[in-house]
Amino acid sequence: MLQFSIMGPAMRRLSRFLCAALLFWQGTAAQGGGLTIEIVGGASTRVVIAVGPFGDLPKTPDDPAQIVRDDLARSGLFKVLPVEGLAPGEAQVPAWGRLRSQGVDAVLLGQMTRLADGRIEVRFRLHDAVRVRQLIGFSYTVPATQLRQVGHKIADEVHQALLGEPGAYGGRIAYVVKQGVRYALKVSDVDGYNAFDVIDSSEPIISPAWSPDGKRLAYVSFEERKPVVYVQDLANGRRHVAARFKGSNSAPAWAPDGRSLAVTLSRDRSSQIYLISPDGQGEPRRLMASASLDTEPSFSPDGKFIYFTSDRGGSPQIYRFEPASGEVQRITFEGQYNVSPAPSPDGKLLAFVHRLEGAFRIAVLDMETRQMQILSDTDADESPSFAPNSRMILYATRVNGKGVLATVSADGRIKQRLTQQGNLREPTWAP
Amino acid sequence: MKRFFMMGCMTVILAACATKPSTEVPVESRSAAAGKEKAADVSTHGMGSVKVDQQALAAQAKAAESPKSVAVQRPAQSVCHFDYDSSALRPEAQSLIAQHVAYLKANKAQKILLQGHADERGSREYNLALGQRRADAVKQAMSVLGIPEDTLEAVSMGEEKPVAEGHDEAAWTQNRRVEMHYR
Repeated sequence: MLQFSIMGPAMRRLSRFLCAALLFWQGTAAQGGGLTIEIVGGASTRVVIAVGPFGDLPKTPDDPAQIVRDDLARSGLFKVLPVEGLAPGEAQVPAWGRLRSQGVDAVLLGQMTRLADGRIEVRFRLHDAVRVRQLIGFSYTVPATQLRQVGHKIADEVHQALLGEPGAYGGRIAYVVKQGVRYALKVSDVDGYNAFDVIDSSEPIISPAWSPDGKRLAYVSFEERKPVVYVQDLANGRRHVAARFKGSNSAPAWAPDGRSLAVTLSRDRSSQIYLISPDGQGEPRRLMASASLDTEPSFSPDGKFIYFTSDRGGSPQIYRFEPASGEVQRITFEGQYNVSPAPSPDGKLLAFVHRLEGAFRIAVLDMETRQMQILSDTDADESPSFAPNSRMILYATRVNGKGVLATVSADGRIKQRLTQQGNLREPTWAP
Repeated sequence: MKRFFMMGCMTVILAACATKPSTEVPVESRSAAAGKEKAADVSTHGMGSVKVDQQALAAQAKAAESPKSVAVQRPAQSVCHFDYDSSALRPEAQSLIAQHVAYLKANKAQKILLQGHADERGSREYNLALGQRRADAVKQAMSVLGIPEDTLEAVSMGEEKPVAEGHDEAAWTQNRRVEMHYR
């Protein structure tokens, strides 16, 4: 049975994002994939999938079939076979025997049709090659400018259908690039395409933080010779100061309802965590009264806790504050340096940076068992951030003296490296 | 812990002694608050204690001020350095601070921006807070010597503005610093 589903609200959201991306398109931005992404550690067993050409339409600016192939191959979880022998079109019947003899587990077939109003209808069917039956089939109708997003959406559906968990191909990331003496805060698709500059500055930018609705970025800029927190609207580029108090202002973190920001302010004698309004109005509300150094606030997805870094116990460790009760609980106990807490969207894991024998490594804590596992094999790691599917962690590190981004899966198996010209740092995955 | 407790007690006592001769109201109210803060520090303080040797600072400030007939020159040196993970003021830092205090007292219209820095190891935000703690240590030292609050601003640049770009101890040593900028 072929299932049809037009993703109405999702597509409207996507088209708004893409309008924003187009408004900020810079001629000098990397045409196509700004980031080079390579697998440096893949799964030992991968699902073998053959992706046929999406037939009928001779030329579109983007080819959803190729985007699906690239996404799945780059995930480290799939082996994508070349397409010889698969004719274009979604309605054909493949030569199952021959495909099975090549070790194929699944076949993806698709079709594109241009409608009278200029939009493109993209239909696909995913088949189980072993049991010779259709698993899923969907159709999307979009302007040609959204074909990349359709490709990512199809990759997400294929990933979910074959692996039983959500993909994370269609999202966006923000990161900072330093080239020479210039700094740029960039937003791009997860695969590096459609990159645009949010801000380009001669002074450092750190700590970008996505609002929960993905429409705004908070960040810290040093353009005034001291750290100041800004909030910028991505659609129109307008920004305002959220915190410019005496002393330093940094580490913005959005509450899950998007109505407040936790920040670190040094206005009261030591670095402490406060809640402020994202529009910068009103008086900051200090969360705790300690004489220690408290920073890096990060809300749990349900808003019940604020994780943070503090040296109140004599060394930098991760704690969490419960606004309802005012209680503070220590979370990390192994080693002398645990910082940069990043809770997973599903609430089950906490990623952070753990120093082991002088090396700074990405680690995760299982919040139920409280067991810690070191995930990365690089040693200058910082700024961990989870994908929306809670399965991948994006972070920054240094390889051969150059700043690069990297991902590692939550079980440590899959590793990617993301590079481009310049030094990359401060990545954060959009919600 | 015991060492912190004893240093904390000594600092409280010295703070009280050092500020008695001053007649400026802001200093007195600040030192009352400082006294309370030091007491709080004793029970919860982490690493990098603010060790302000009050008597040494006061003596050096007096020495720097004594040639009364000569206009006080702005000190040529304006950077002090710190040990790893520490915001403790070294003796040479304390003497440098005293020189700048003398200059500020002779030039009351001047304001000073204290920029704290950290080396690159570890999280950027934690390093921002470490740099802030160093700048605060210098600010605290200046304020107990009588420089008014609105003359001083302590900020941090974290690891973002190194003076040495290497990834080794030689570079890290140079980058752990507080810079004093007049404005």
